[in-house]
Amino acid sequence: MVVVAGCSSTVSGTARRAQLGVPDPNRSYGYVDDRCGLLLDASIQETLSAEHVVRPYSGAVCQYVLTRGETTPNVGAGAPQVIDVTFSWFETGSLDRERALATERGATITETDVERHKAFLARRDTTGAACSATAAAGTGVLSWWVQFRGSSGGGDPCQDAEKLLSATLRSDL
Amino acid sequence: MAARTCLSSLLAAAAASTILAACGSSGQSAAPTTSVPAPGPGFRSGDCNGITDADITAAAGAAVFTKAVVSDAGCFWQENSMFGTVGAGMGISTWWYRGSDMDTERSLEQKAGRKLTELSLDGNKGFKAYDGNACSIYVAKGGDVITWSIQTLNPATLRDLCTITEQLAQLSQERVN
Repeated sequence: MVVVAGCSSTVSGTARRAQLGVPDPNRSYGYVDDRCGLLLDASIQETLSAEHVVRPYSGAVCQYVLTRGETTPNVGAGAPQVIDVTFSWFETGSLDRERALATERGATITETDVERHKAFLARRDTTGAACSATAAAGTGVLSWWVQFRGSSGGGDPCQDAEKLLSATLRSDL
Repeated sequence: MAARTCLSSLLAAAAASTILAACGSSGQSAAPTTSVPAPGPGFRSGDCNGITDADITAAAGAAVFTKAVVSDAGCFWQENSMFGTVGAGMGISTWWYRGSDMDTERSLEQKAGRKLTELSLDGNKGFKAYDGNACSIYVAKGGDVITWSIQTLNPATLRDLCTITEQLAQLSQERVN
């Protein structure tokens, strides 16, 4: 239930790194209370500095379409930047399987740590400049993917994906 | 050392074990080692779960949908009727859940008020969920699920929505097993 929100933990002494496991082995990041990855749509919109957000698909995978900048066809104004975002929560998935798949599909992989979780960034441009930030968490693996649709420059999608991942992982402490 | 403060201390002992689990207490024992059968292998799939733009055109008509997302989670073709932000996100999508329970999606679709029908594709069990503006197909294999969905504001201008997703799901299943 929602009791989890009432928990807090104060750590004293030397910080321990969860090298072997994850710091949140019992945590679920599933779709609940109209939130994907524990985040409200408004938080995603704010994190990406977007003016508009819709979530056409929700479940273990959530899909968002956001727009940043001018949203009405206007004289002199540039076309709005469409930003596509997907969130995935695979409760029985693994970081290794996700990394192997991203590698096989030709992404540039950067290993990292996000909020004490083992993670990687995978940059692969297909229908735009795009990047996923994926972390081992709870019983499985979760990932945020950000794309600047149809764009090849301007902004770093990895940075935005990592921001969202960090926001999700932070919200459990 | 970690000092934990938790609402559980204020709650009845009967509820304590549940609450502790939710707090991620390390006092709980590890996952049971009983003989729960491990799921078999899941799908082996490429981008867009094996479906091309030509397949989308064949199933849904020409110049109606444009590919907008290709990610490791799946793909999305935006319906071309989008104007400004109206219609954003309407279109055809496919996702590959690498380690997820299909029943979770089933209960979400039920809650959304869609009609559900069980089905089987290429030897894998699944279901479809539909209403006047959407039709989704879910198919499970091992611990994986692959979905095909269409959502539109203009159902009257398209073929029967479930006919479109059934065709795509069938074709996709022939390529990911």
